[in-house]
Amino acid sequence: MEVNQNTIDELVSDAQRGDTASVGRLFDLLADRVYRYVRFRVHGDDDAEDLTQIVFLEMIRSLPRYKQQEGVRFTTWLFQIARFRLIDHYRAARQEVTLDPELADTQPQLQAPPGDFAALGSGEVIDRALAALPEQYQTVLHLRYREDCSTQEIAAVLGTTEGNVRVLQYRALNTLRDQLDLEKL
Amino acid sequence: MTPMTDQELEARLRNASRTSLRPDVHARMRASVLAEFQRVTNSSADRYNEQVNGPFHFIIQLFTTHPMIPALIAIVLIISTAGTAVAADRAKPGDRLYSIDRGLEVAKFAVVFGDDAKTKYLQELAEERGREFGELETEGDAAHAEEAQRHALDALERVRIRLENNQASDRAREEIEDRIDQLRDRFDLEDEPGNPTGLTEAEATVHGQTTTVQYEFNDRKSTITLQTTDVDQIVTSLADLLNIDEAAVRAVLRVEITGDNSGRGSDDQDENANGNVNDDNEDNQAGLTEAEAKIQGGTTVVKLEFNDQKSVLTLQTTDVNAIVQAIASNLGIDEATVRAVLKIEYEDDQGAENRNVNENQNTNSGDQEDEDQNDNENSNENQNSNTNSDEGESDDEDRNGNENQNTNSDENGQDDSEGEDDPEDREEDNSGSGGDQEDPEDNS
Repeated sequence: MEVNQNTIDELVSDAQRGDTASVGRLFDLLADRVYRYVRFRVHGDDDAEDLTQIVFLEMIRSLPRYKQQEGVRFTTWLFQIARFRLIDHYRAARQEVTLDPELADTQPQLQAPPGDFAALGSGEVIDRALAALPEQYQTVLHLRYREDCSTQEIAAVLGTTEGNVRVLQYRALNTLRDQLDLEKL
Repeated sequence: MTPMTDQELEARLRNASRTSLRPDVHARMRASVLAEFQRVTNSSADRYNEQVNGPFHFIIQLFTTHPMIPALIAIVLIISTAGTAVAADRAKPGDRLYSIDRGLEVAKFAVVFGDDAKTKYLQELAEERGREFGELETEGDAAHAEEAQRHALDALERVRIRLENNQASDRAREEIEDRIDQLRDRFDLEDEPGNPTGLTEAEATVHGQTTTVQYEFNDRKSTITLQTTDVDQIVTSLADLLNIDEAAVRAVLRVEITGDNSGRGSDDQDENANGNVNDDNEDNQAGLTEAEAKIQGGTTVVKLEFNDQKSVLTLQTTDVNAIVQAIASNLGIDEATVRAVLKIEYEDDQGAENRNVNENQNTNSGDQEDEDQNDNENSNENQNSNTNSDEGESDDEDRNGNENQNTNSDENGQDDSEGEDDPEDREEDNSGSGGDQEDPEDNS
């Protein structure tokens, strides 16, 4: 669903003034996008749903400090929150995993654990391959091709430079291509 | 198998699955989010709004939605502020609002523009303190009455300084001075402060042709020696030296005469005169029991009691030696006897106008009428002719302004000594009356 950026900005302003309806409308517009961002990077729907809710709760608590900036969309800020919560989730999952010495070496650092692809259709193989990529590659490709974020916005989410984003994007595409090739084998 | 191109890969990424939250999960999560939003905003609504909109957003929003509120607040503020100011204005020393009253007065003085207005405002403050003083005195609050009086006097002093500095127009000055005089009367103040000039004591001792003046100025005692015996010149010299008004000098000056007449010409004269008098008029010398000279402007009125007979001698001079000589000559006694008895004092505060007229006459002696010149040159004769005359007969027009009163005394002396004195020497002696003053600092 294509949403006008001005609409989101107005809803954000109203929400900052305490308008509950605007918060509900923002959630309706952005919940699925956040959910998709996290869905294939965590185990199961429950973790994805929990993470999505955590992201929106933090959005509400942080909303008074948010300041609209020229050329930067609200969703960029929202995905930044999502990424940090996702990283937290990875760290927590890694600590849980490392409790089992036999499984310790199977978890790459900050790499998304494999999703449950068995339940997915054949058309969703790309998601499976994407989920196998390092976290930064996943974020760059997701924001670039599914959220149509600009290089500048992706750089803001990742906390890096636009040049680095272009390098990451190039490497992520090559890695994804290799991954898909592996899937075909 | 050819690998996917970037375009194909990007197309597959864009067309990937569109996973969505299940409706029930979406609804449940939405409810949780809104509940959290309500909790956050309700628990810290002020902080939330303040953080979102800045500290004044609530006020701005309130003013926007209720435009009458700013007007109401303004009215309340004006009424409350004005009420406080009015209440403070009525405050007296000892009241809680008195400090506010004083603060408001200072603030108001700062915004009053123009010398007239500022001086007038200070005068009004002094009057206000005066009213407060009266009220407190009536109430028996002596301590605070004293405070009010002190503040009133401070204000008066400030007014006086502004008037002295010409920080008021003539028209405003007249009105302000009238009001100030009334206030001074209320506080039983003299027109002139006790001794604003700092001169508290001045004693001139005439000996021969010089005068030594011991004076106390600003609590420092000093001595000055003047080459003159003319009291008016002594006054002028001291006033010039201390840069104060002559009236201030006259107010405290006392003149004494020593028996030693050390003037060269006078010595000869005295020796001769004393010899003659001592030989021929012992009874007469003993007969002089009172000689009181009162100087009024350029005229000296001498009250004498000689051989139990009282008389008045009016002299057109203020020179001490000339006065002594005139008395001695008039009574036919020696000058030492006169000096032993003579007291010299100022009758009252001499008007500057008379003094100035006299001085002008002195400087314009060349234009004086012959009658005046004759009077001047023959002053001793005139003085003698005035013997036993009433004091009221002294006429300013008859006063002979002398170009230099010392010169006048010289001429008198010359007349008395019948050429034995050297006028040039006298002039040399007297010429230094102003310039040869000793530095009081050195003499202190």
